Amino acid sequence: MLPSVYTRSSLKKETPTFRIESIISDGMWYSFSKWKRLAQVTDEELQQWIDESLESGDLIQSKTGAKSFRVGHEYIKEWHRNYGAPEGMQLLDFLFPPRIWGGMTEIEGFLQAPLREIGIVSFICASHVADEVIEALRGVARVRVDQKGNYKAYGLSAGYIKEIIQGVFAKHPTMETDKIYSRNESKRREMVDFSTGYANSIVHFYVEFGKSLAKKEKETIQIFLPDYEDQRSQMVMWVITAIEKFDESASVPFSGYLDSVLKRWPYDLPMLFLGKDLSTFQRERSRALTRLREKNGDKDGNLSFSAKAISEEMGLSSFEFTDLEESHKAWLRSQTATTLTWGETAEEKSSTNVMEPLETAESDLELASKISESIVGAALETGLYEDAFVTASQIDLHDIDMRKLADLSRDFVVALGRQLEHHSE
Amino acid sequence: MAKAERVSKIAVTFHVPDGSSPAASALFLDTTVEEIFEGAANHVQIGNSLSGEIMYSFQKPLVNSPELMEEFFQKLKRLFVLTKSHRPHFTQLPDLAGGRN
Repeated sequence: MLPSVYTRSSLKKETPTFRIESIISDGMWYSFSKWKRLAQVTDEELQQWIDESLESGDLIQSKTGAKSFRVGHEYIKEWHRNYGAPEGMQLLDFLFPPRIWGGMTEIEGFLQAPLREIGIVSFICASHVADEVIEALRGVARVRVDQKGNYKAYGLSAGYIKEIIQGVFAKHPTMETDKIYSRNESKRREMVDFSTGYANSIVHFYVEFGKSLAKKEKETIQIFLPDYEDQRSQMVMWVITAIEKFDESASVPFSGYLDSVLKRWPYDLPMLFLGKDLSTFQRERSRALTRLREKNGDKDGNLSFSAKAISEEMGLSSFEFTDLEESHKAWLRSQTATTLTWGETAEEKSSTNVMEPLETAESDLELASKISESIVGAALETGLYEDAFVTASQIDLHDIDMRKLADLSRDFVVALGRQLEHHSE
Repeated sequence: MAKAERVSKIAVTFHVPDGSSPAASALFLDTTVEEIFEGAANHVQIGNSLSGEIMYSFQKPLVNSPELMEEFFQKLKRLFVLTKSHRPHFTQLPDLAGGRN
């Protein structure tokens, strides 16, 4: 029976063969170099295992010609059975356990639902005309409304779909807004191409995983989607879109593809919610403020700048600036009605919804973290290190010993208060 | 100035961020702690590593000199900054915690 979790160092005590197999047995694609690095083996050791396993049929090499390898679900089952380990067990503390959904590895699921050539026709029209288009395209294409309110018809042949849409538009010659603005051939899969068990599991897994991938973009997402449920719904949409577009033939992990798109897609939100003019204005305005702070040596962002200074820095006339600034302020007001925090100190102050629950386990953790950081700050500020140890000894205790805290020096307590204020900003 | 108990270690607990892999967090914390404290820290087993809480204990300076103390707190400061997403906070080692929740 295997121990529950191997660290990198404890794995190194095992045989090279075990190390090689423990990595590849998660069912994902591995390049030679990544596999070798994680298994901590030599080129020769890995190459020998690969040669033998390719010959026995246990190992699968990418058909693209890349030196990427994986194993199938049957191998994973057998390998875990041989070592008396449950299949979903977290064997290595630096890799996810095998992702087996609907009886398939993640890769097998994608390979069974490959991308297909489809035609996409984008159009805009009144909603009652769109209803007619949807009816006319029944059995030919599926019509969806995108986030901008435009329609997209997905089917096999873009040319054929376009002809049908034009036929419907021709019945409404007075509707000047009716317009087909693009058609193209692309590659897609549908979620219905997967088994239900696989589809539910992959979406659930990657929605959670996606949150950690989009950490740097979290601030942008929160500005435009302050509500947690809205953020989660958006992540579900991004994950599904990524699954529909992911090219399984590239022999790379889906997580890598998702990581790359989640670095870009959140930045479409400003355009989507604000329109081009205002989103560009906000971006340029933020850059102008950064430049002004740099020029004035304001590292902490304590200075505030006049509208004139900002507009000059942006190269806008005062009329243009005032017009867009009004829209910007109106947008800020609408956002601060909810849970938004807009992090531009000096000018826009943070606000939180007064209806938010006051005490949660999460906020307790945040508070404990702030106090701890403040204790360290106060210790460095005053040099009263023993007082810091005493204060730290009372964190996370059920019953705080107030006598110990009463003995703290005044200088340390004052510094701690100052630090707490600083860390709460 | 308060008289502190001369306990030789101080403990910090980290929390795996929502949606993050406990394994990835453990790896990140291991690397960060080792880089800053260079062997003067230990991972404290407090149950299942997948529970979302990861604890380390840190050896306090054995000699109470201002220079060593400052160096130690500078390291803690750096640790708190680098691991902010894991909401680090002081805690008590299991055998010293008494009424810990």
